[in-house]
Amino acid sequence: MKTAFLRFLLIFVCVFFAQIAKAQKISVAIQHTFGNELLVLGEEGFRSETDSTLQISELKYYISNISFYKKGTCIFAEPNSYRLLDVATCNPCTFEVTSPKKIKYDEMRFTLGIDSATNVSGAMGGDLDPTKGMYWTWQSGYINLKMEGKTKDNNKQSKEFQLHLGGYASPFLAAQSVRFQWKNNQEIPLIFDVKNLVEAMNSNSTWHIMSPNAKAVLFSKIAAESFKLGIK
Amino acid sequence: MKWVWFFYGGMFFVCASFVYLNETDWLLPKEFPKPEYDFAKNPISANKIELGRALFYDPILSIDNTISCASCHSQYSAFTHVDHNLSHGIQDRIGFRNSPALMNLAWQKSFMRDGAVNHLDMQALAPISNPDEMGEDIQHIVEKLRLSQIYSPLFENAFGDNVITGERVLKALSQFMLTLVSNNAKFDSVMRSQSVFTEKEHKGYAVFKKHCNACHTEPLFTNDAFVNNGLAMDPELKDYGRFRVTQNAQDSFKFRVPTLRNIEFSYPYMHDGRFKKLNQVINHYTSPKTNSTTLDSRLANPMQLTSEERVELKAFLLTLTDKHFLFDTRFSYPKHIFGVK
Repeated sequence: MKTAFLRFLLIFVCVFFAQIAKAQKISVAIQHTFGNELLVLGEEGFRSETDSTLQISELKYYISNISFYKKGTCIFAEPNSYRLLDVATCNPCTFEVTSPKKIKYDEMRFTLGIDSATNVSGAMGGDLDPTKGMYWTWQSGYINLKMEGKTKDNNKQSKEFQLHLGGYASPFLAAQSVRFQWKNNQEIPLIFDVKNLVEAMNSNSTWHIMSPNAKAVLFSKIAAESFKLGIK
Repeated sequence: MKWVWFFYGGMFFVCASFVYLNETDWLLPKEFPKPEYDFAKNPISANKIELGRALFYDPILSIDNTISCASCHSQYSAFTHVDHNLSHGIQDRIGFRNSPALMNLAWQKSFMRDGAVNHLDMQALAPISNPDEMGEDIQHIVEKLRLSQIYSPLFENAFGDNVITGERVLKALSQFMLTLVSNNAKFDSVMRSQSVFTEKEHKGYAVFKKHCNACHTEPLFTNDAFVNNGLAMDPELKDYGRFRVTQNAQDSFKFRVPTLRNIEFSYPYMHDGRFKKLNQVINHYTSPKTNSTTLDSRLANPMQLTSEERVELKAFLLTLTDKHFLFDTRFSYPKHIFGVK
């Protein structure tokens, strides 16, 4: 009886460590820029040639549902995949996704924002905790991306802009899917260039988006398209 | 010998499964439909309810520590703000809607008069953050709670450690609010054949079923739908109802159908508390309505009631008063936590 138990324990331990050894950590780094310049938040930040008033004082957004694909088929979807990136604390922002076994992928996908199902699931913790300042209080729903600052073309005297992009219910579904072809098993280098969002504000004469609506969806699409691979 | 252990093991699992299945039974009356609230994501426990109850009655949730949930949701008026058409929050600021009565919340699909909030857990964020109500911020509340002597042991009892997060605050509040179940009015005991209506009440029930039950559907006395019941828009408040949430013109002037349970004590009535008395409510329904493209078609014509039917209908509505609920000390101010007020 004792011998059988010890054999079982040995096999269990071997299998356990074999599983751990097979696990793969995939690193992602997102660099935030304004055009070709590294984004620096606040007054002391970068100076745009065309707009000396321009500053970005806050940039926070959710990345969720990170998954990896091979030839169009999902081979790994990270469970409980929610991350709040706050550019005030990191630039580039790096994180790791752990797959329980080694995977050969050719595409990475994630959602910029929080999906509808999660939006109706009640109070949650970690990066989804409402204390993170990314949840609308007067009306349910996560703010997928928050960007605030100043820009000279803003018709307000203070020049302040506030983009709070969200919306999980039809017809204003703001969360966007983002995809990259990427095979190399080194760190995935991404760039999020906010210049497009700033230009969108000025060209749309829209410097405040504070609720789910058509503009929030439009700007969310622009934000999603502002991610690109940082291949040197 | 082996079979005895299998038997005991089996018995254990059978008993354990009953404990699990009955975990929320005491909260869910048999005669009510299936609840909307997902208890699996917030399993009920006595300690969490206790914590939620403390938070509900604690003005620490407001920026100047003067306004608690109970300030506008008082037990004796079925957890609404008796005698106030619009509630006042911090510094006597006035809001723009009447505070809804809180009961049977596990069966609601959405919250607030316009359904702006999609889950009970997130409802408290609205008054907490409203500058005319509590004027606070959940992050700051968490910081205040961390500094408070009272809450560390309450969180430890509820969650196993004294870590205080926004999620835990909201889930604890939900748990207390979920216990506010009202199903012991005279109406309920009649339905359970434990009691009988008077003749007036019985006739009133028939009037109710003919004219009111379509929206105020028993046993919850609401169908939880959004309806324009023909109230003229208040020119100062300019409240467009659910349109504010959906931006859909077809939702203009629609408000949630409130429960009629405890209606005797939850005056004043309607989304802006414009009616102080039940007679005024009945008069509204027996009068022509304000014309609107979104007016509910069932209310296009005034309700026809004889004067006897009015009396009978009122008598029936009073059978929805649940004194067990209104005076249940489990829902009252927790003196044992805060001391005598």
